[in-house]
Amino acid sequence: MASNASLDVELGLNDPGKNKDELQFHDFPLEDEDVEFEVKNSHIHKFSDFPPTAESDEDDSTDKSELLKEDKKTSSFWTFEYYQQYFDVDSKQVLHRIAGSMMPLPGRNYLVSHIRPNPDLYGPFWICMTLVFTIAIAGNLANYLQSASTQYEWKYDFHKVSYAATAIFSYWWLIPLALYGLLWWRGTQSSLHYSFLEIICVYGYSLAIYVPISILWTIQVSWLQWLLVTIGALLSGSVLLITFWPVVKEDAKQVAITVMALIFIFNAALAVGFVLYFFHVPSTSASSTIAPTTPNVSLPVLQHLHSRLDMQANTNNIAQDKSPTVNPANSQPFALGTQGTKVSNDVPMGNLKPAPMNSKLSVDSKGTNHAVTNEIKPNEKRPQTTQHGDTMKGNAKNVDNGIKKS
Amino acid sequence: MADVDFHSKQDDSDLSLEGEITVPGVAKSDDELSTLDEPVKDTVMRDLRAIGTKFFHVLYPKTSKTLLKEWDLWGPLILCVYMAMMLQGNTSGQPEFAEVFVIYWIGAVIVTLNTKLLGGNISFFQSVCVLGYCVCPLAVALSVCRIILIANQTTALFVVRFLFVIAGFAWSTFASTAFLGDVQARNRKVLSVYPIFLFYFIISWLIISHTH
Repeated sequence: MASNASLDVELGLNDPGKNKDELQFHDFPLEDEDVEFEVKNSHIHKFSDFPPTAESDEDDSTDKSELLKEDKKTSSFWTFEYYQQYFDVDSKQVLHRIAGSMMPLPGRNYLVSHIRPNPDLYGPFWICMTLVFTIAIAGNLANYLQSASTQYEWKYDFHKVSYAATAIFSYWWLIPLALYGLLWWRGTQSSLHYSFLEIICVYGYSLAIYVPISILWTIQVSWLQWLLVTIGALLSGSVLLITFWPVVKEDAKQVAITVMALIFIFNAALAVGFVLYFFHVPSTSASSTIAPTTPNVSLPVLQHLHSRLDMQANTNNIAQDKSPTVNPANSQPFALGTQGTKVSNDVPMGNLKPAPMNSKLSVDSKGTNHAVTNEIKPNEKRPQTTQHGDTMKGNAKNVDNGIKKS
Repeated sequence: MADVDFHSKQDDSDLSLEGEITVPGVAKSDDELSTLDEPVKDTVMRDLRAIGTKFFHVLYPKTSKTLLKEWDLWGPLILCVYMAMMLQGNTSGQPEFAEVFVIYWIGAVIVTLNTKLLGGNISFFQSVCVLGYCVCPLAVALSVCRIILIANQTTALFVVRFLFVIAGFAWSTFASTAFLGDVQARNRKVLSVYPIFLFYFIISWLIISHTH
């Protein structure tokens, strides 16, 4: 009987899945003291570590990684339990990982020392979410502080959330994907093999330092902002470099250095992009005048506009200049047409009143372009206009049509 | 000795499982005699009263289990439509109706999924219901802000609005953690409370920065 009992205890040590059954079997009083000692050991080792809600073995975070691998195979990709294993962390662990991602120590591989037994997605996901909203909120705050001194016309921009989310989540997923693809393609012979999940986890945690920094970026002091960029990029960048150096160092030297440089540059570029886009608006951003669009307008459009100009001039003639007001819809093609024919060098674009425009144009264009003088002057006859060039003929036809229509 | 400890633990978990089966409120509504005979008015009034009771429990978070027993999504829907209507702006840069709506529901769903993934002992819609109802203090703060915004804006009025929103935010967070705090194991409590905090913080930000 005693020998049987000892055998069962050994089985229980080796196979944790059967442990409950075996130990239930062990309700009998045991005579052998050695056996009882073994049972005690096994009990302390196995069951004091279970969280009270845990029903399955997947939540056994402190056990060996061998167990975890076994569980990964058992739970299917489509089940909820499959994703629960990526959220298998407790508060202290997350704080420890966040702190570790900000403190580069030479010789300490962040992934191996902090992440290795079970990479999680809780920390990276919520760090990215937090960063999206701190950047959007702090960016709005910075914008407000800039506008407060000059003018009180400030409106908050909700859509900074979507820009920040796009930038951060694409950085978090695309760079690790590229890195993982590169490592897989190079096929490093080193003993370290980083899984995609681990790389994602490291990259997510490496963004943690930008959360406090993005709040400090609201202080509108240029040198302080750039100092913070440097600190953030150096700290989190060097953690990344120390982490990924061991996997690429056995590759060709050029490849290794290029990969390291790219990792660092992308990390720093993200920080610089944040500052430049969300926080660092140059003070001389006042001139928001509407630029004239004539350089991009193609020739047929110009001609059409031109014909409308002629029509307008003629209708003005018909109306004997009784109407001083022209509605804006007509006045804009007028201005565009005149600039298209390079007459209105002296005419300011903002001046759209019809009466002075007409007189000024006729005076200006007399010396420069004869054709235009003909068009603009109300008293000229149309047949004279048709004598100048092919395009003018086309215009005259258009004018004909226009007049017939009107 | 060791064996005895282990077995007592297992008995506890068995007990809690048994207790949980009786919790959902479906059985209770089955016990009530058929609602087909009663006037429509009674039915509607009973539902409205249930919604009102939940609002009261959110505003006065004393008993922690009432909100969890029978979930409904009427209250969250009402609150969500109200806040989206109040927060939408027609000028550029302000959130649209649909954006507020999406933030509200997707936010609640993500927070709930987070709780479930961390191993929380709660059903999906119970959590969404609680999170939705707990926006109520923030909706009150929003109403106050809208009234204040009618007057000419000064710094003092901004401070008043700010204080109201802060109070609503604290109230919402406190109420929801009172209802949802117990579903998580102790060493993960912070992890499940933080997303709730973030969720209400974002809604508070939307309210305080709404100026037109």
